[in-house]
Amino acid sequence: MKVTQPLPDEYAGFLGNYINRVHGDVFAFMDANHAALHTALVNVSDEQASVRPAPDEWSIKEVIGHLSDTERIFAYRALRFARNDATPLPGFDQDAYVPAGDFNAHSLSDVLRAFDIVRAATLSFFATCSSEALLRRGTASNNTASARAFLYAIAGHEDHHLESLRDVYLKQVTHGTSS
Amino acid sequence: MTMTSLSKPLPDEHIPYYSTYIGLVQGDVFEFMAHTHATLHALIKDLSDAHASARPAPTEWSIKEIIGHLSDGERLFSYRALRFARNDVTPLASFDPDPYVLAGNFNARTLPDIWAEFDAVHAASVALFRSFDEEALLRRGVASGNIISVRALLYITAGHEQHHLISIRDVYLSE
Repeated sequence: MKVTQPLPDEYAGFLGNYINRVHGDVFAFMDANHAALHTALVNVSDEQASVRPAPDEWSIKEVIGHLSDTERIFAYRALRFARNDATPLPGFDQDAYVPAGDFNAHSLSDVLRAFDIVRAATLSFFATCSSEALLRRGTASNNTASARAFLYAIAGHEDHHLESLRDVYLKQVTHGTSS
Repeated sequence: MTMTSLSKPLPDEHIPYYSTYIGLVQGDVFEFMAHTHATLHALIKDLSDAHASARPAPTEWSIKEIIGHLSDGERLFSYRALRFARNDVTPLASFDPDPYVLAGNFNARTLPDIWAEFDAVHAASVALFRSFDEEALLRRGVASGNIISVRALLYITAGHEQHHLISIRDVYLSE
């Protein structure tokens, strides 16, 4: 099904930073980025993927784990709104979720596979939702948003982290400064 | 069987209401889930579209609606488990399955399409619960106003599918 860009009144706050990164068909954009993420990490060792560039920055495994957690939470919000349930939903503290997820204890391939599985579930929801349901709105983290705004936010959020992996993490890996 | 974090939740990890689902689970919970999921698929995969869309009574769900409800339910249970496992004790809202089924409009879709979605959701539930360490499985939070542990949510997910499998087999598909 064709899904189009949410209007500016369908979201507020930081979601717009992600939504505005998406161009063209959102599903094609997601597929291309998801494939590019795998390609970018294909030569990264498990050890490299566990390195934190700075004590307060996440490792590559932690970034991927964070993508899975965020996508589960965003898709959940979209589900509730799409089902006509406007119960206000709480925010979450990503900096507390990442250490609790203990992603460095898992292999990079496991963390990536878990993300792939989350992505398949995300797509199975949004691709089968009616256009009417995708326009329904609710409140999450004290901001109004439509169900489709979360689809675009998921897409733009992965794009944002892919860019940061390329610009920050993988330059260090290829230049060997991580050792 | 030795007591591990994957053993059945203790009675203080959930309200008695959930014992209906948790009590259905036997043996290794992940093997039980895999068996239930395969059995349910085998039971319904060759049904006609008309059969899968029929509501036995005006207030009862069709088989398509039950499968759609299983997807919705697993997404909600997994979300609660994720939050509690990540040490987040924000109280979480309940949900009312009947309006969800109505809004899901599942009878407008084909049974294979609805099953494919449930398959993807189920794989994501299993991946999440399998990723938790012992400590995370024992963490608790409040959902629908009641305390519940992460592993209780795992057992509820498993027992919930089994509960609907039994109802489909014994009520919907019995002559």
